[in-house]
Amino acid sequence: MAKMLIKKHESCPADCSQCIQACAAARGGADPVVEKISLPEKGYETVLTCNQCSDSVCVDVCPAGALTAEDGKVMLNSDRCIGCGLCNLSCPYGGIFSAKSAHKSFKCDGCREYGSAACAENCPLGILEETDAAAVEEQYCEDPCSPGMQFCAGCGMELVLRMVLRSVGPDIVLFGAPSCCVPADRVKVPMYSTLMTNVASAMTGVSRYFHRIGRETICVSVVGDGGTCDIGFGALSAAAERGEKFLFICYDNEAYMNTGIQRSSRTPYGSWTNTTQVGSVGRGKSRDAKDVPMLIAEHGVNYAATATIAYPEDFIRKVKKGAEAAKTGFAYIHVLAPCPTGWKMEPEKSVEVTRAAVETNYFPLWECDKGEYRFTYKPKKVKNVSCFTDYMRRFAHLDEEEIAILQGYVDARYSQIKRLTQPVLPD
Amino acid sequence: MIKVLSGNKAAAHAVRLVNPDVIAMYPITPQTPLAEEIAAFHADGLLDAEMIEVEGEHTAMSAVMSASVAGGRVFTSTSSWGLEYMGEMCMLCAGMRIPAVMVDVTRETSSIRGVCGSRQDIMSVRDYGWIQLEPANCQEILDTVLMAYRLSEDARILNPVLVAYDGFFLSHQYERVEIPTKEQVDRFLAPVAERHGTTFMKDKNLQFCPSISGLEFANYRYQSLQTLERVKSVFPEIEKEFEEIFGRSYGGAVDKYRTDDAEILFLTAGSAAGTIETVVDRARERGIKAGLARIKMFRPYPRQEMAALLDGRKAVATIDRSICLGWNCGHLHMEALAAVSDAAQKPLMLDFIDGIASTDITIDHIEKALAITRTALAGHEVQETNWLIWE
Amino acid sequence: MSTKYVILGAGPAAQAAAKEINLYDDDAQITLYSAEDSAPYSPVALPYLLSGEMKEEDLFYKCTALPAENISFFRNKKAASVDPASKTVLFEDGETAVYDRLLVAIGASPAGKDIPGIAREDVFVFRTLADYKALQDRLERENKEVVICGGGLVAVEVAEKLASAGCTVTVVVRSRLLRKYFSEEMGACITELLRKHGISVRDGRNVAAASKKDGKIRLTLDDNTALSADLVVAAMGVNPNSLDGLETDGAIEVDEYMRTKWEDVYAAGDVASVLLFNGEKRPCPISPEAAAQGKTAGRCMAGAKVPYDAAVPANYLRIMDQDFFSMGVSEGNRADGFVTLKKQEEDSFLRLTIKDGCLVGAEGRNRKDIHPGLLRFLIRSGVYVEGEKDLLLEKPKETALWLAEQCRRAGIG
Repeated sequence: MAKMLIKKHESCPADCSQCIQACAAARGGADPVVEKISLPEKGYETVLTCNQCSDSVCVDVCPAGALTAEDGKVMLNSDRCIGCGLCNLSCPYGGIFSAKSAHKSFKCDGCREYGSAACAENCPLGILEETDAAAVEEQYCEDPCSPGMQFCAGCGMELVLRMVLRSVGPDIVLFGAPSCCVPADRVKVPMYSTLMTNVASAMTGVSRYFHRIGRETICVSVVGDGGTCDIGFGALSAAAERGEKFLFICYDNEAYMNTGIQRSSRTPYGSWTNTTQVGSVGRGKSRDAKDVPMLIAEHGVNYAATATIAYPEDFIRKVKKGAEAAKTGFAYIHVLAPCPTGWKMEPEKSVEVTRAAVETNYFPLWECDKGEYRFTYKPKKVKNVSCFTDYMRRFAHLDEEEIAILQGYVDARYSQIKRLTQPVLPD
Repeated sequence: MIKVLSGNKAAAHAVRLVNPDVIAMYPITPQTPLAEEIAAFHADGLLDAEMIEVEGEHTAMSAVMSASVAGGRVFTSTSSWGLEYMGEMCMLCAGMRIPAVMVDVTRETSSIRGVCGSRQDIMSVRDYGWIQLEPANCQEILDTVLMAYRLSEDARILNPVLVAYDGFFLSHQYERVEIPTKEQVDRFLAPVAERHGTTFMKDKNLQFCPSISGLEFANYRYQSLQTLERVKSVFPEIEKEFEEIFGRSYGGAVDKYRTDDAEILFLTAGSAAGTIETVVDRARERGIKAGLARIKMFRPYPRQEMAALLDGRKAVATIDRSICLGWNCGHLHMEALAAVSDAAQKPLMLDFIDGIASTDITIDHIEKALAITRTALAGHEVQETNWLIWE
Repeated sequence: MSTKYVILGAGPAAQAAAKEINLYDDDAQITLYSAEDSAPYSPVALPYLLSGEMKEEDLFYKCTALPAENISFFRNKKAASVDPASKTVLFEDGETAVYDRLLVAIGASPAGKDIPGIAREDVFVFRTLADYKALQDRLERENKEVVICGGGLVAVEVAEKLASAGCTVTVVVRSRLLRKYFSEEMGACITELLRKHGISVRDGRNVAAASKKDGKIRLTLDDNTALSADLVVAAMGVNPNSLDGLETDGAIEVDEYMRTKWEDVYAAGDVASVLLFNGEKRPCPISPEAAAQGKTAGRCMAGAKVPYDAAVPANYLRIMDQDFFSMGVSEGNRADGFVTLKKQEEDSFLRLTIKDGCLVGAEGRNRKDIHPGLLRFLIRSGVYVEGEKDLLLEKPKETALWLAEQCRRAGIG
């Protein structure tokens, strides 16, 4: 699978040039193709390199055929380069550099000979990272949802719904309950709208009958944390215990959002909601969230996992794995889906905030495959939970002590999962 | 084949013969032996349904209803608290006109925490929209369950059917029962052998149960009312078909015993009928023109039939096995009052509460009811509602 | 049923279009028709043949992907007319082609080959490979005294390359060199450099009279100076090519989807009149824009209505180891609301032109440290830079990158 270099939206330390030195070394002493960009007037410290566009402008523009697209990278053959400068003029990312002494352009080739991106390997903070370019689009099938759907700006649940449906394909029956996720009459797959109490039991009935007549259609739900973790939890737990064969996906926005932002068992410690208000006495929710994904995993199910929208390759892989596991047993995926309206944050930061959730270990990404737990992503440097809470005004009232308490819950929850991922020692 | 069976076991045999696709039940006294008998049949390979071992009645109804939407034939059973727990699911099942058959083994509700028999639990179901049939003996239980499938899945009906019989007094009572053959049952159910189809068709996305309101919502409610009315004409046809194959008949929505010239008409439902019939016979020997009307189809209520039946009688003595809170009487009496308002010559209407909370309905009790009725007919003042259980 | 895409032309616009169509249409049959007797190439490379930096065969390395499985190519096929009603192209050789979608990317041709007093065989233009071959052929036969009439990019590039190839070159320009592309300051600097390179530049001059005697051409300028030449290169601008049936006043007007007013007929490249970043509508005859327009035409023809971003003219020149770039508005008067910022160092220069708080132009000399593409992105996106303009002048690379990232995060560009 092709590899891709990602640069995170974070400040580099002003005095660090590890990536640049590593690049020069990997290029056998030639000029590095990563440049340091320092603009302290704007608090902007970063590095610049070629974006390796899949829809590159430079390749079309080069008159000498020196620029070519190969394997997800753009290669510049300096022997062919005539130094006409058109690529430098055209690249909107500033990713092609002019050689100081020769009349040539040069750029990053993805460390083709070196084998893996030397800059990412040597970045001490994981700001540069090389990852599988899983060509997410290639794994998708047609989106059966209507192009415009009446959800809030920045709705995480809408992304979850579309990504799930594009990953499982059309041969499903989709289940949903009264909640924000009501795509009925806007989605091109058969759908069964249940009550909040009975998603898992309705899925049981349908999937059992399908099994009886030999029909392979999978039952897939996209249900909020209310219908999954609270009022519908009994039915969910029983279905998991019985090993019913379907894929249950919970989109967790950590409260009952559709009815106007009321607390659920997934609302974290300290969070404001309309039923855990902040006033002269109240300080938001007084208890931390119930770790539902882990509880379901502990039912001995076929597959259970956490996922979120900021890590789409991870999410899609898990959805497909869950769909496969649902053929022989119970599969569950718990997806953190931000609600900018209820979390009181800027709608355009939806994806960013879920990234922060993962990078602070507030929402670790793991899977439990027939009892075997493993992390599917580990942040290089775990950040303080305030890096997550800072995005949302639902936490704005928390003082240092309260943040520390929340941090304690985050750490404890993470340790618990970590313990489960460790190999079991003999007596 | 002839066997001595309890009411629960008779029902179990009916289910075995029908062989539904999906069964989900949660045990609750006095239904438990029914659930266990079905489980035993399944374990011996006599029934090959998908058995869902649910964790509660809410899930039981949700699961079978959903399996039916998907195209399967289903069965569940419960009692009392379980019936209440699955309440919202039952409403949905009837509201969406999903074919299903459920047995309720009647019992007091959770109003007082107890385990005893009456007709109280099914009174809450009156307004769910289910068709409600009440057999009075073990043979009729088996036969009624069979008829319930034929009725529920009939293309003109497509509505769930509740078969309710007295907890403890019928469920655990053993009687002679003739068990039909599978071949007979298959023949009887042949008109509904082609299942009602699945909502979930590949390449055709139908949305089941989206949220609606206003005129669209009202339209469905209207259709439900019409469906229940249609049952009144379809059920007699089905009983006729049944008689042709099995040789037994039960007289339709209202079972009449010596009612032709009866001046005093007893009215009841369920197994109390047996005791009352004995008292009717004894009264007749004494020259009293007594008779018994037993409501077999409680929903849809046989309003027209009842109005005609009660018209011109001197008195109607209802033996009620449930209390209608807010009306200070029993439910059969309260509904008979409504039906009799259509009659030209209204009889004296009296109500007798008996047999609730597992108390016995005895011959003495019914004789007393008769005596009170005759006292009233002689011009003396009596209470409209009389509690017989204190005797 | 395959969709038939007919592309007239085989330059950068046509090449980009053909590639893009295949990305959006699984069942396309694409045919490119070139009027030239050559495989597809990019005309930008031609001056480099003059200096020997490139060889002829290097020209075709760019288009090894053409022809492809569903892309055919025909040379020597000059279109004579188009009938949009019957969707037919008529070629000069009498053959026809029917299309479902047509892209007119026939480019432009040099303006004047007529200089009074000079025989046509002594006047050369420089636009196509054939032009290059004719010129090269003549240079190899003769002594190399060349007079170039014109002061645009072709004039300057050809002058520089011929000089490095050993010719004696004089440039005669009516106003000043690169008037449309660089500021007066920069134009003067470039003129100085060329002179240092041994190129004679006669700015503000016209050819008044010409004659040929004993195989040498004599030119008299309007200040009575005399010049001698073995050949003359006319580099006095280009005019968009035209086709019967698609009548127009000059260039073919297109909308943001490269559509012309005729159904299923698109245009791109030097032949098309497009919307510029500053609201003007005219051709933007530089090859990066030709490629971008061709790409837009390709995907829109294939059904993906993703519009063209506004054009930003931009140029790059290398003269004697010094390099120059310019983009957008090269010079603007304060009276018209333009604000100019300049940073002059001994060996380098940067000029930024701002209007209404937005960057509208930039030019630089020996600023290899800047990534000009970023500045072009800022001009194209119309981002407000008023608060950062001084920082942009001081640290153009870093500030441009920061501004670009802000833009992208806000969903612009």
